[in-house]
Amino acid sequence: MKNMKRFTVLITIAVLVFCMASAFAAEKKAVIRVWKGPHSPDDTGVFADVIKAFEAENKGATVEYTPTPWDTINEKYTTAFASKNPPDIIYGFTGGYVDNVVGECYDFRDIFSKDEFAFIKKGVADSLLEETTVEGKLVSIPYFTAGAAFVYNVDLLKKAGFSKPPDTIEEQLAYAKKLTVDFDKDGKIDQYGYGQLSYDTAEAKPEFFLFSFGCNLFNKDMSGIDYDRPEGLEAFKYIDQLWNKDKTAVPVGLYPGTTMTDAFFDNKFAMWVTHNQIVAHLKDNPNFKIGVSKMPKGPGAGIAQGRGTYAGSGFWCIAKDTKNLQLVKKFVLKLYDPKYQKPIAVAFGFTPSNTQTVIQQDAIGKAFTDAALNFGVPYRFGPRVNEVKQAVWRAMQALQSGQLGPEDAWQQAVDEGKAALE
Amino acid sequence: MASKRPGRLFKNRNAYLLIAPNFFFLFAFLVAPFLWVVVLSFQKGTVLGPKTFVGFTNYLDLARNRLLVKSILNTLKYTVTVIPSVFILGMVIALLLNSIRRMRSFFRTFLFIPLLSSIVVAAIVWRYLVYPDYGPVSRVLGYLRIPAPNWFGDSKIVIFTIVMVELWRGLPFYIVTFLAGLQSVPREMIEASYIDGASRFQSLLHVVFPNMKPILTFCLVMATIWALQLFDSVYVLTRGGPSSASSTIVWSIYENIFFFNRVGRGASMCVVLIVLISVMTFINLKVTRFHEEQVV
Repeated sequence: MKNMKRFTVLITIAVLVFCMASAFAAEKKAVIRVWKGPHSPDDTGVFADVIKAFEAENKGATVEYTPTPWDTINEKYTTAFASKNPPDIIYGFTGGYVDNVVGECYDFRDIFSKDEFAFIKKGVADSLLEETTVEGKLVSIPYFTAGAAFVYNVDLLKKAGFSKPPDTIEEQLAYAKKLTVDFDKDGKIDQYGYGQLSYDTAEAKPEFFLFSFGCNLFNKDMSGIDYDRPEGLEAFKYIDQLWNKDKTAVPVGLYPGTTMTDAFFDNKFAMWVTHNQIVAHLKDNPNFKIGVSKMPKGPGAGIAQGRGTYAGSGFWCIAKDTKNLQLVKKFVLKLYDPKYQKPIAVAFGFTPSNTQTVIQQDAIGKAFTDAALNFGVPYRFGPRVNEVKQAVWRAMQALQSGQLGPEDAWQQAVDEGKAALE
Repeated sequence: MASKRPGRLFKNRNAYLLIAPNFFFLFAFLVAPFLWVVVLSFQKGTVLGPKTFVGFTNYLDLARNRLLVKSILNTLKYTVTVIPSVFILGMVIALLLNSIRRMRSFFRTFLFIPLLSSIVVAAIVWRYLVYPDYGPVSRVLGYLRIPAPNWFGDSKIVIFTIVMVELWRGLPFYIVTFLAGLQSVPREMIEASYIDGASRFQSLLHVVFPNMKPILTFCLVMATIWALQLFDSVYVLTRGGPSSASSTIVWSIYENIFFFNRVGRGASMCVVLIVLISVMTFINLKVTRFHEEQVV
């Protein structure tokens, strides 16, 4: 009986020691959580090499990479930060995606040493730093530059007798008319001239119509809207021409969500403005001849010579609530290392913001890069960016779906935009 | 007398102990968050940033918020469409099921299946079914030479597309509940009405329905609450579009908090919604009680 008691005590002590050792070991093992909106179907695979290299250099540290869908990114990030359990690193992007949380991230100048900061900043133009500055804090350094460009179906344009894309927005109207066809004459259009990314993908960004006429969403100091000028109304009238008068653009809701991309590859429409992610679909459509060019020129020379389209920077931010700051910094340094930055940029079809990280691009990639670098109009950070953006989108959608005429839609966009900034 | 009170409390200690966990969770997850939302509704600021007290400003702003007014109207449009639909269709199917003798259990189980699926899954499936160009429903309509409507893009019909999806998923609950109500009506009462010369319809109107009043009231109250809380299918199917044509009150709350980072405005909308639900429930209960008294 006495032996039994001793045995029980020994077993209990052994279990306790084992538990404490496990807990200690678990504490030693650091997990770095990284969240990013995906740019490729194999987003995780793109980061495999840099993660592997980091884990080999830092024994006991693991990187947990999670692609977070774009359409739920705001609530996912906001709730994670509000619960004080955010990921250690998030991928930010100018465009109103993570505006809610970037303020909860470190100023890079506060946490990196001079040498480390110089390493991250190397090759990045000073002017680009505005894109990662939030209320005076430099929450990151631009990593990628990416954006949208004018994309078209080469074969459909050829069939219609066009050997090159439209150079002006007037030409674009004529192209769209010729490319809109009812093949079987059943009264239903089988092929449209012009298409636009669906609003429900949160990627539509139709404000390039404003850029064409020389307007932006905000004025320079972001104290007011910029499209409350007659040029803004002209942009709405142009949309009205394409969608309602000529009926040469894909009606709103005809191809919801990502089916818009399928429709493009199915020859359902010929031209649109879309993002570099389209290149990821080319391997599934090897015989498709895609054309990429700068935007057709509009009369608004004041913004990107009338060829403005959305562009922005992607970057890595470090959450203030991280528990492994030293390791997290090491991983961020690894990400910004040109050796790893280059293959990541190539895989996504992006351009590294570090101009010294030179990548070889094919004609399509180069056209996207040229559009972003020469004609890109970036969003800026601000608490009301999303609200003003949505006000414009909502009004354009109301116009495109026939709920409002161009004057009323423009007036609604102006009223709601101003109300958002009050 | 004073010494009796602790004694009574002590006497009922088991009951209090049993309801204590429930009460705790109710307070922690319902009462406390609600009070917090009320506090937030008097503040201005972002979700994560600092907030300042602004009194009734958020409530006053709501009155001139065109989007919220549109969302309230859309929610009411949905409510007045979906509630009569579930009641009429649910009752007709329940009466049919009640009248058949064979395979009733099979049909009851079969009809219950949609309720087992999550609304998100149901909405995604419906989204594919009615895709204007690629969806099977549109293709079938095309073969029949019937022009397929633009289910998600036409602002006039988009709310009815949502009604269709919600109806498909929600109807089984009402069918099964109505069927249980129909089967609880004493057979003798119905037979007595026939002996007295009542037609089938008269018997239904004057015997069956009055006996089902508690169930009908319960269903009406729940249907109203659920309709006013509409969110999931809007989130999955339309995200409030096109141009807010399908934006509902809860969608508006979500948009304000997570997209526009306006926590005070979102919170004040929550309070308005709670008040709206309470008023509607109160009216429902009052009207049905008034009718009960009239019948008596």
